[in-house]
Amino acid sequence: MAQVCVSQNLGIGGGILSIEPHSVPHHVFDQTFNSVGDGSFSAQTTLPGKLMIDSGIQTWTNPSPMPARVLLRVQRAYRNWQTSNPNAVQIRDRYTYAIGGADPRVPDVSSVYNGQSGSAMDVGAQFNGTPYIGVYWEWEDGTLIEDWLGPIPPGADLKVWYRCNLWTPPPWSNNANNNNPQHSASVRSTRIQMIAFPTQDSTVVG
Amino acid sequence: MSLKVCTAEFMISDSIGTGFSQAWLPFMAAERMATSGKDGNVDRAPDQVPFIDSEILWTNSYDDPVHAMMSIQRAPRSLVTSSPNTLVLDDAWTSDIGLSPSAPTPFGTNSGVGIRFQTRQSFNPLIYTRFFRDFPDWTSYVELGAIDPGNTLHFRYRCLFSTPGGWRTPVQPLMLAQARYARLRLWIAPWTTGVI
Repeated sequence: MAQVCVSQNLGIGGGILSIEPHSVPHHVFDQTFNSVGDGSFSAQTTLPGKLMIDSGIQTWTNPSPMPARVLLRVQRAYRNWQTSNPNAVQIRDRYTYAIGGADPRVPDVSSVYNGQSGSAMDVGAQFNGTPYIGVYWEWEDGTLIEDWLGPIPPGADLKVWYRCNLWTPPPWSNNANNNNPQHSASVRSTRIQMIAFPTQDSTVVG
Repeated sequence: MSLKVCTAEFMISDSIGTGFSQAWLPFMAAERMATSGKDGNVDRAPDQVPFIDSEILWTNSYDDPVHAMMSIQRAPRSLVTSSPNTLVLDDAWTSDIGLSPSAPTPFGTNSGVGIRFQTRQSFNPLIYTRFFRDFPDWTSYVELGAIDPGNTLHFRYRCLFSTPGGWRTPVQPLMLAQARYARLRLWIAPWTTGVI
């Protein structure tokens, strides 16, 4: 009987040639993390501001005998917010990751961050110093960002940590919108997916 | 010792074993991070001004045809304007595939963001009005099609700034545009025709 050896992306069991599950791209992690901070807000003029979403540390362990690459997908839900003349609002988010045993660093958005969205309109103040009437509403589409991580060695961990914060870039007026301040925001949720991709078995080179 | 067996497209075999060729396994083949060279104060620009200009050249050195897709990750953009001026940051891209490809210069728009905020009717004097807007980063996928062995992909991307429409000198003007960066990623997967 002819003898044929196969790479670790293929298998032979009981005389049957097969394709290993880790040889095709597949979902290994898919979770949606909800906001705990939706609703009205007031002055948050110090970074990182109000914590809206915190995924905590999420871990995937590569169970296959081959290194894996991981496509990390971060899908932000649609957002909306409302802010009063002349105040600003900004929503920042960030993910961190680590491969191996260590934990990822805390995703503090104070200086380094991935996304930012927000707005401010400033139409000035009346003669008595009170800001003019003015409220701004925004509805923002959902967004997707991706990263290509790895290789993650066999048996090793990939850990990911995501946070979303809301802050109000200074200055802050307490009597916005002609002394009728209206400020609210909904970021809803962020969905985090990991899709594991196969790598070539370097011992078989053709 | 194993036999070296005959293989069809997308497979390889040697005396160690038989397996998939790299062209069978979907992966990221090239990546480019391009930063903006013009972020900061802006003035009237009836014609598009490039803030980011980047390209990727990639040759299929495998024995099999591959399916190419490009993902374009636009950085968070920030625009600040004063009434009544319009600021726009457009994303534009072009591509060509062949033995000696040459993608045309990207103009116009495939995606983009912009702002305008007007507080007085156009026949009245202007009043002080500033508007600030941050847009989160976002990814577009561009389908490129098949790249045959030995053929090359040429992909070009530009982020273009312009100020469409009228332009007046605002009261205490402040106009800023920040495009920051764009990240291009070339994704490769097998191109199968059903006749392997």
